[in-house]
Formats: sequence, structure tokens, C-alpha cells
Amino acid sequence: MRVTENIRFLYTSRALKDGASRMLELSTQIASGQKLTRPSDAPATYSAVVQRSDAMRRLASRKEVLGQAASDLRLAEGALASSAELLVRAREVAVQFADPFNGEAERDAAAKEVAAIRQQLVALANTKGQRGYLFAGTQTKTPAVDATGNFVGDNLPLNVEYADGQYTPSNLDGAIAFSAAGGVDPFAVLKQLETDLNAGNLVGVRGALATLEDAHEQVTLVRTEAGVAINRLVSAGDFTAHALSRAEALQAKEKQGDLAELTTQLTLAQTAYERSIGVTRQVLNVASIVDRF
Amino acid sequence: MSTLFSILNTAQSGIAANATGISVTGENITGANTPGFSKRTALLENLPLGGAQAGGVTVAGVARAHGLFAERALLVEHGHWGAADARAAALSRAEDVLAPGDGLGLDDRFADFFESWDDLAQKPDDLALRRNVALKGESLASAFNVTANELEAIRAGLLSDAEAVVGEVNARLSRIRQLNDKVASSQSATSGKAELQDERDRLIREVAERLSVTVLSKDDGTVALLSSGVALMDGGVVRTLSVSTQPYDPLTPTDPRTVLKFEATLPGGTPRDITNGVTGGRLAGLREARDVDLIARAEELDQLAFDFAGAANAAHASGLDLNLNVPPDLFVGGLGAVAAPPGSAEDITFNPTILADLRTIGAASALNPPPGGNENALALSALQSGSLAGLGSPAERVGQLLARSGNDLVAAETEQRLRESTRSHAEQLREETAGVSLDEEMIQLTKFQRAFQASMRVLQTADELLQELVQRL
Repeated sequence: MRVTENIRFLYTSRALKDGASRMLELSTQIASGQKLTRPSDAPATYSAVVQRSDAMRRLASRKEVLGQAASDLRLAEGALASSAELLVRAREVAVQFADPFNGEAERDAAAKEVAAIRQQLVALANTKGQRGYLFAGTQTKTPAVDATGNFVGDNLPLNVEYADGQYTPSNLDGAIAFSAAGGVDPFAVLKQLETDLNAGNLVGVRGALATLEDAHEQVTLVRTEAGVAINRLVSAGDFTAHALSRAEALQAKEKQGDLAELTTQLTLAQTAYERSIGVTRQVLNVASIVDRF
Repeated sequence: MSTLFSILNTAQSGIAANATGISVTGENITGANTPGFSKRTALLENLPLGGAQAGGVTVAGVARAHGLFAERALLVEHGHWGAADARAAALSRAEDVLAPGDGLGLDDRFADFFESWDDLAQKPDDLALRRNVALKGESLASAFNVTANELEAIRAGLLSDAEAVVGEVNARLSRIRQLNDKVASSQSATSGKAELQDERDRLIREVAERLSVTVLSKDDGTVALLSSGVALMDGGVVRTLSVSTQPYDPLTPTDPRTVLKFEATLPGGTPRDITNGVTGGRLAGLREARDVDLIARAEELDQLAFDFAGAANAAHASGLDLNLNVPPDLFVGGLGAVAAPPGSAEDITFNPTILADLRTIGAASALNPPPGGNENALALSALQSGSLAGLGSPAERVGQLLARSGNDLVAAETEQRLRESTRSHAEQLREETAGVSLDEEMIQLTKFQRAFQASMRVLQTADELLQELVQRL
């Protein structure tokens, strides 16, 4: 093989160019912390990363929705617990004033207490969570009951997705808890009790005992459903969080470069580059017949 | 029998011939790093005996080193490399458009859109969340528009590139024709002719990098250039190359897409279509990237826009809006009824009717008092993991699009590196036959110098003998 000056320079410059290119590539990866920055770095892996990223967004959104729904349900469950206590208190008042020995003034005071209980129950039925009024069905922007205790919401579910294609209601049926749809209208019962106490209608007061018991039961029943729903949502949320965590770990592994590995590769590339420079120096300094003249 | 005067002539011929040898060697040494320079050799010949000449030497000419095989291999490799390099550069630009980086891609806009439906499902009567759905829908449509427009802009840029390259080829063909004339009229075997040939070969290599050519050498020293089945240049006649566009699908007049059309025209002649013959050089790479790769990506994008809009509109129409009406289409604009027409991604728009009245977003699925539930919002959100036209979820489809784009670029870059290597090998082959070795030239220089000195010595000796003869007379 006939070796000319240009052949020598051709080889050495190509080796230097390749070495510099590899070092730049690795330096960029180390600086950005990512070994996968564009589809052509690894097309199949990049496609998987895009799909996993989408799945992660979906899981994160689901986790947030489930957390929000569970939080609202806890709030609703607390409101129902308070409602049940109010109904217990109303029944206690009814029991106490079913006795004819109470005076008119005491009955008036009791009637006022029952009115206050009713107002508190209205407030509890109109409890607001992160998603709006909790017992109004899908009417999250309007109170579930009006000032007089009439239920004005709907009994439609607000579903949430807890697994792919699997849905569960995330709200409670306010109509069952706070209207005659559940068997007893607690507001009507309390209003009647208040009227009977004001009128001294002891038969009516005694009659309220059973209906208040029923109202308490229907509120408690809905509260039980809330507990079940909370467990379901929390469990689904935990599972979603776990799946998200695993996806994030896998994503990081594929997308982000292993710093130790990249640094090692950079060191190797640097060594190769320095050797190329050494070879170039040798080639350029090689003894030539030209030097003899 | 030689006379003393004939010895003087012999010495003179030696001095002149070796001085030429030194001059030619000097040319080689100084031209060693000049691109396209071919080593020259002074051709020395004996002078015939007889008359006033007692032998001697003369320079019959200057030979130019020229390896036909190496030159042809170099032309072929220049063509391959030019095509691969142009295609890789174009696909790299397309990749930047399709995968602009974290949080900016089409996949991210899809995820934002579906997330907005998730949010709306939590409060279906919330107008702020309805506005968010509309904004995310607009943003998604805009991402389709921008991506499609950018791809089209790259295609337009590649047409401009092709026009520039065609101009460069024409300019070089014209110059090569001029050099051809000069080579034909120049004295044979001279350094001047070698210089013209070097310049011509360099220009031919530059043409080959842009458009693959075959060279036919003629007896008069000129060359003819053939490409794509026509003679680009032959005997002083040069065809003018031109590039324009023609319909991608001539049978579908409504299809606005175009592909490149290359034509070669003789002076005063009819243009001849050579498009299909353009298989090497930058023009071939530009053509493949523009008319094959990018059209394929644009078609995928159109199909994705079409399939997604169809699925989203169908799901939306299954629900009811806050006015208890069947909601309007979510996405409109240039979307075909049964197939994705070209430009679907460029034209897709979020329905302005919905933007004007956010109550027309259908989040419910049954005829209930408004808002009526959130089943339809959840159904829209579920499209995120559903299969569009049986070809995968939106993210899968985007992933497939990016993977294909990435694979094309990997293949193009691999080809580019391979061709760079083979071109380098061909250059080495040419260097082996026609390149300059300074070591060799220094030896040649010494050889001619010594011969020159020896001729001087002969001259001096003959001169001394003549002087002695004259003194004795």
C-alpha cells in the first residue's frame, strides 16, 4: 500500500472526529441526566417511555381523583355522624317532653332547641367538600336542601374510575339520607316535632319518637355506605399509588442515565480520545526523509 | 561518433530535462494538500543518436496519475454519501418537530385533554372546568396543526434545498464543459493540462455528491457525464437540470400534496423527466426524505387526527349537554367521513360552537335534570386507554409514530456513517494511486538534483576539453 501524506491525515482526523463526537454525546447525557433525549436514541424504548408517561399521567390523575373523592366522603361521613347525633338529641328531647309534667315554658325552649337542630341538620346536609355540595348528587353547585329542608338535589351518582374501565360512585345519596326518599323526611319530622312542642301536642311528640328513630337509622345506613365507599376508594388509591410508583421507577431507569455508568463511559471515551491525540502527534512527528534535508 | 560539440548538446539536454523534473517535483510537493491534486511525473526519454546530438534526454511530457477504478469508486461513494447525508439531516429536523421535548409533545397534549375530562367528571356542572376542557381540546388540535405545519414547512424547505442543489449542479456542469474545451485544446501531457483535468475531476466529484453521475472518457481527453438515463453533458452540449413539483396522487385532484420532479433539458429542447432515475446524490436523499419519509409521517399524523376526532366525536355524541341536547362534535375541520384526507392534522379544530357555549359540552349520558351525571365525561376520559380504530391508544399511536420516525433516522444515520466510511476508503484508494507522498518526492528531487549536477559536470568537462584543444591549436 502506498501511503501518502493525505492518507495519514485522513485516518487521524477521522479518529479524532469520532472520539470528539462520542465525548460530546456522553457529556450531554451526563449534563442533562438523561440518556434518552430523542426517539432515534432508542426508538422502541422511546415509544415505551411515551406510552408509560401517558399511563403515569393517567394513574396520577386517577390517584388525585380517588384521594379527592375519599376526602370528600370522609367529610360526608362526618356530616352524617353529626346528623345522626342531632337526631339522637332530637329524640331525647321528644322522650323528655312526651311527659305531661313539663311546663309550657320548658316545651317552648324544647321547641326552640328542635328548631336549632333542624337548622343544624340543614347545614350538615349542605356540607361542601372539594367537589361542591356533597349530598346534592350531581348538582354540586347548589345546596342539597333549601332553608326549609326540602331536598333540591338529585340522586344521581358521580362515578370515579378506580381501575381501567371500572367505576364506582364517589358520592352519597343525599335524597336517601335527608328526604322522604329514604323512608322518612327528617326535616319534616323535626318541623312537626317543633310544632307539636309549641302546641303542647303530646300525642304528636310521642309519635315523633318512632319516626326520629327511623330517620336516625336511614342516616346511619347512608353513613355505613360512606364507610364502605371510603374503604374502596382508599384501597384503590393505594393500589394506584403503588402502580404509579413502580411506573415512575421503571421510567426513570429507562429514561435517565446511570450517572456512574455514564461517567465510566465518558472516562473510557476520554482515554480513547487522548490516545487518538497521541497517535496523531506520533503520525505528525514521524521521522520523514523530508527532515533529512 | 560524438563530437565535443555534440557532448555539449547532450549535457544541455540533461540540464533542461532534469530542471523540468525538479519543477514537476516541486509542483507535487506544493500541491500535496490541494484537494483533487493528482501526482505528476516528468516523462524522460532518450534522444536519438546522430547528427549534432550525441544521445541525451528530453522530457516527453508530464504524466498525471489517474486510477480509473479509484476515481469511479470515489464518484459512486460521493453519490451514496450525499444521499445519506441529505436524508439524515432532513429526518433529524423532522424528529425535532415530532418529539419537541418533555411536556411539549402531542402525547402530552393528549394527556392534558383527557385529564381535563377527568376533572370535569368530578364537577360536571362547573363552567370553569368546562372551559378547561375546551382549552385543552383547542391546545390538542393546535398541537396537531403545528406538528403538521412544521412537517410541511420542512418539506417546503427541502424543495428549496433541492432548487439550490440543482443550481449548484448546473453551475458545475457549465464549468466542466468549459474545462472540457480547454483540455481538448491544450497541449497533451503538460502540467497545464493536468491542472485542468484535476479541476474538472474535482468538479465532477462535487456534481456526483449532488447527483450520481457516470463518466465516459473520450480519446480527445474530454469526458461525457451521464445521469438518470440521460447525457447531462456530451461534446459541448449541456442539459440544464431543473426541479419543480408534481401532484403526489394525479388521480386525486383534491390531494394538495406534491412530490419533486426533476427534468433535464437540452438547449432549445423539451424537458425530459428524469425523476425516477435520480437515485444517488443529495438530490436523491432530499427526494426520499421529502416524498417518502415525511409524507409517510404526515399520513400517520393525519390518520391519528382522523381516528381520534372520530372516536371523540362519537363518544361526545353519546351524551347529553347541560341543555339536554345531543352535544355537537368536539372536533371539526377538514375531517373526512370515512377516511383521513391529507391535511386532516393540519385542519383539525376544536369546535368553536362549544367554545361559544360551554353548556354544549356533554358530560352526562342519560336524560336527567342537568347536569345529569358524569358518565359521558368518564367515557371521554376513558378514550385515553381505548384503542383508536383498533390500532392502539392515542399514546400508543404517538409512540408508534415516534418509533417509526426514530427508526428511519437511525437507519439514515447508520447509512450516513457507513457511506462516510466507504467514501473515506475510496478517497484512500484514490490517494494510493494519485496522491502525493512527500518521501517519494524528496527522493525524486534528490535524483533530479544529482542528475542536474552531473549534466553540469559533463558540460564543464566538455568545455575544459574544448579549451585545451583551442589552446593547442
